Amino acid sequence: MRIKLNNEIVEIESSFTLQILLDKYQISETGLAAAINDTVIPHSSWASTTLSEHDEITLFQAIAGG
Amino acid sequence: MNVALSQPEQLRYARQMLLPELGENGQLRLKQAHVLIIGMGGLGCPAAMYLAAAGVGSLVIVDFDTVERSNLHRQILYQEHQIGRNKAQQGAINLHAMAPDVSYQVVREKVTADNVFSLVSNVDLVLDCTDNIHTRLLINQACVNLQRPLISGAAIGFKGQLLTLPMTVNSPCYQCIYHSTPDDQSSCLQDGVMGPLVGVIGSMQALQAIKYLSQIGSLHQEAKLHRFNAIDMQWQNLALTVDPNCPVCAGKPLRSKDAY
Repeated sequence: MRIKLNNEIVEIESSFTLQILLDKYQISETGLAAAINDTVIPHSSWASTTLSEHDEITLFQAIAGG
Repeated sequence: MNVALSQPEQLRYARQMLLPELGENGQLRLKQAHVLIIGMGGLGCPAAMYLAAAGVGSLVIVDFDTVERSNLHRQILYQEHQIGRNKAQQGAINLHAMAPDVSYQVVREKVTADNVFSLVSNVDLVLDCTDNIHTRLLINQACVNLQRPLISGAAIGFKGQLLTLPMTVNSPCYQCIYHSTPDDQSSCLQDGVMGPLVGVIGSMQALQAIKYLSQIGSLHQEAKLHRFNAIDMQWQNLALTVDPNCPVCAGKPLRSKDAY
């Protein structure tokens, strides 16, 4: 199925959770936040959150400067 | 403090009191408010200037650092001849010249685990305008424990983030969003930052603070994260949820409905 990952269309298997997606793309979890369809998903739910067709995933880092 | 507005105050704030959402009641709420601004750099300067100009009654401004020449492209409260002065002290002097009705308390200290709780406990609202992750985590912890609303701004390069966390039962804390944080964060020192970008984020911290204090909109109920990309001028508005396993707020009185 197709989802959007930071505005890029990618093809994934329909069983993918958010955690599997991060593992597959080898994305570092340090300072990382993840949102599905503009709602931030807490870290403890990444492994239990299954992705759906057309989900828009946003991955972004904490920033500290000011 | 005299709660009624004086004649000069009526005039000074006339254009914002015209707004039906604010009115005289909202202005009186601002006048009675105590706000803590931690960090008087690129975010803290515009945030403090707008809160002082808007008539927030009492500002506690915290910074241990001194004004440097390389700050001046973004820290717009300070003047060339004030290089070398403490930012909190000089900031209060410059703010007083602009808005003398406001009470300013200057704290020329680094925020640590030893002083953060007493700083946060004495105010109605906290603005995190700091430049490092360690202090951000300390401020979040204190706001969780003392149930104080937190408006956190951050900016680097061309990217900004604005977090509004009311610290109520259903609102997350900073670490519900960022479960782990790197020890070594990128900073303005290493990576550079666009001056007007910190102005945008700092101004929006002031805007959120004014709305929160005068009870405009739904900020009391709803935590929000706004991300800004200054290159393509895109904002992303994100809803937030509590992490039931958050290392900071899980199990705290904040999460107990009995607290309310």
